Amino acid sequence: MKKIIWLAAIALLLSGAPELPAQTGISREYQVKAVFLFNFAQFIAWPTNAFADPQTPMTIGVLGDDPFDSFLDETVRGEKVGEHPLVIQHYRRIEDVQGCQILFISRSEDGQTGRILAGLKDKNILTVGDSDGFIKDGGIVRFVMEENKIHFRINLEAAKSANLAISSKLLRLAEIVEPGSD
Amino acid sequence: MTVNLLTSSAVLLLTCAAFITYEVVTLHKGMVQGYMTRAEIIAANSTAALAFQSEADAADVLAALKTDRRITGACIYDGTGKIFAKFPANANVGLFPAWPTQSGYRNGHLEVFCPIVQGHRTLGTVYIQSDLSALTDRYYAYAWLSAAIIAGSILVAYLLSRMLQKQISAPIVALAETANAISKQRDFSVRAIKFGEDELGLLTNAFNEMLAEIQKLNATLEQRVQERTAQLETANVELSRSRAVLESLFKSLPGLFLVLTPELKIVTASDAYLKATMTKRENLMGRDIFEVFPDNPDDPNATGSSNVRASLNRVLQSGEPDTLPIQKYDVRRPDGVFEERFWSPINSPVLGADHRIEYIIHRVEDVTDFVKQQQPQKNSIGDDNGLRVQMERMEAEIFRSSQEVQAANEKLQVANKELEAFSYSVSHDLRAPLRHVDGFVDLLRKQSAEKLDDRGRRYLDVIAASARQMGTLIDDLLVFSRMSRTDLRRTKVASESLVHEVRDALQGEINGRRIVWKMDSLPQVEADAPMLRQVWANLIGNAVKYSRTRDPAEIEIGCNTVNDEFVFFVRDNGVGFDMQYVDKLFGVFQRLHRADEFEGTGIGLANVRRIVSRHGGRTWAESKVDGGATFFFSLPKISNEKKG
Repeated sequence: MKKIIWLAAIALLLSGAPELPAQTGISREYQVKAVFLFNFAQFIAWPTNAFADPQTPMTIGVLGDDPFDSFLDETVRGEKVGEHPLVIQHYRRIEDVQGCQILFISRSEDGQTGRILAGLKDKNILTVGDSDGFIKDGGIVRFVMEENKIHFRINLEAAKSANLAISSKLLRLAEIVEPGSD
Repeated sequence: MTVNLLTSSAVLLLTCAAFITYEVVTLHKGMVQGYMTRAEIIAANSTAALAFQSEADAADVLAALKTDRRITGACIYDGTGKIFAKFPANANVGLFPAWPTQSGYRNGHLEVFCPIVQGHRTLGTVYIQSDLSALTDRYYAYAWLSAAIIAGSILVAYLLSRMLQKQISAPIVALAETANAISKQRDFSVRAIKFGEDELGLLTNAFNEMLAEIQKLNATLEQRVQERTAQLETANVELSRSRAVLESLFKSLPGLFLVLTPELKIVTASDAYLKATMTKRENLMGRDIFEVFPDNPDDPNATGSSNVRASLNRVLQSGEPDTLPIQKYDVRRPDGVFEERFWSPINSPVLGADHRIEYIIHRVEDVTDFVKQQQPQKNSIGDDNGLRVQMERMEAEIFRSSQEVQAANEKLQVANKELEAFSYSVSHDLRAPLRHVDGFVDLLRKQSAEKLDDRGRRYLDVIAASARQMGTLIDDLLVFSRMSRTDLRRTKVASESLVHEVRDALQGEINGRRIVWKMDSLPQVEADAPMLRQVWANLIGNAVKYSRTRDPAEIEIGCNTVNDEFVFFVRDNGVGFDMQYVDKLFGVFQRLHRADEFEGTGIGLANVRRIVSRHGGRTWAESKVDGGATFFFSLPKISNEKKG
């Protein structure tokens, strides 16, 4: 008997984990986070040399497993940031990350986050994540869930190091945190 | 002044209204603009809040609006039109419109909608609602301000007006009062006070000059009149003296003389006559000759008186002396007994300046003794010749005497003529300053009409009227003097057409009044036509004037023939006059009614008397107070002209 239940649970888990598209709960969360990612682009100014020319597309990259499914693609379809069209890229390895302005580091990369972020230092990339300790690892923006609402914390120092100017309107909404915090 | 104030107020009111309207309209627009701007600012600041779904942040942004007391509410709608955040935080959702619409004034509030845009996407809408207290506050402020400005302006205008008025009114008032006083009291020594060197001062100067002139001329006139009067008195005295001399001369003439009027009344008799007829002078004078000396009633053949009567009539008719053959008279003694006398009478006329018979001299020679002696023979022819010579000598003497009277008369006339010429030139001189007064009053009216109030203008009217009255006076004086300067030009004049002309000329005065005219047929006369017209104009004009109080007025014009004169009359049923003062009526400047009862200068009737007497006629009047008046004047008939 115990064996059957155990198997059933595993089967459920297995079937449930990556195979839960378009459900409430997780997908709603990442729907909102996708919109937030897009909106970050509206309130942050990249240095001029971040783009080859004004029509060069802005890239939002996802490193690791993609939690957004198609949401991110749908959110940015047809949109622009200033003159730059938006483009989504998926990366598996940090070395693949090229010409990206916003990089979302998925939970799948937990444990390597520190190494990844160190490698991205001094590149004009807005690093966003929702893992614990993302800020401590060197990330700029971390999503947190509080009272069923998505908030985000911003490491201004890291942003400054990356040469990114964040609008006060955005900062107002965020929780500004010190580099060493969580 | 009221008109001025009203005009100023109206202008101010209109100006204020225009400005206020403009301000209000601008304010309306401005308010919308202002709140739209605020909404835009809020929108710009709330993009992040909407993008990141932060109601708290949106509410914060809205809360900044609390500084404006007039904002009664604000909210942010999200992209679906739902209310995302509101201000005040505890406001009822019903306060806000369910859906974003157009901005505008609604339900006593101003509502402003502004879209929250990021790039080309509309994230939501900002709504701000404010009350209209800004507007109402402004309205009140304007109302008070306007009222204050208008009140203040009116006050200032009023004060200024009064100040200016005083400057102009005071001198005019003073001048008018002076003119009035002078007019009433005829005291030309009064002078008007000058108040400044402007046009009013000039007017005052001219006025005073005129008064000075009048005063001077008055004095000169009086002096001259006194001199003339003295001269006339001297002439009069001389005249009386020579008359006395003549009288005593006549009385003591050796000869039986009676002086008769053309009506055969005894004027006087010589002493010798009185003695011969045994009568006293006082019993004879004024009585009819045949009454005093009738035929002997007991003698049926007594024809003496009737023969004499026939002779006298012949004299009156022919204007030539008439001699009678010896007549038998019966002289009545005081005791009643008749004595037989034989007298030879001659009747001779005494002609006046215009060849009318003034007197008849009845001269008799007592030839009783002669006849009694020479009873059988009659040497009438020789005796008649001697008598005629005597008579002619007498005639010559009398003619000389009457010549002296004539000479004295002429002196008087010359004196009169000089006086009248003087009046004429004086009247002319008086007119010049008067024209000044008239002219300057006119100037003043034109120049300062708007500075003057009703009272000031009325004073000017008084001055002008007084000047005009003076002018009329002077004109009448002129006419009066002219009457004596020009010569009489006699033509045959139809009195009736003259009267009709005069009546037509009076139409203006008669207009509207009921007058009943009764007119007999009037004869033709020989007279100076324009002068005679003046007579009719005066008399009929007076009749019209003094019957003004009657409705209907009755005016009767007619003519009677009395002896050898035409007696014309004008009768009216007007106010009449007291017969006590009938003598004064025809005097110069004599009026029996006050100027405010009946206008006039008092020269008219003097003119009438003057003209009529120059024609050889007389003027008189009869009246009862309040019982109408009748004015008579006589003119000699044509047939009595120029014989002999």
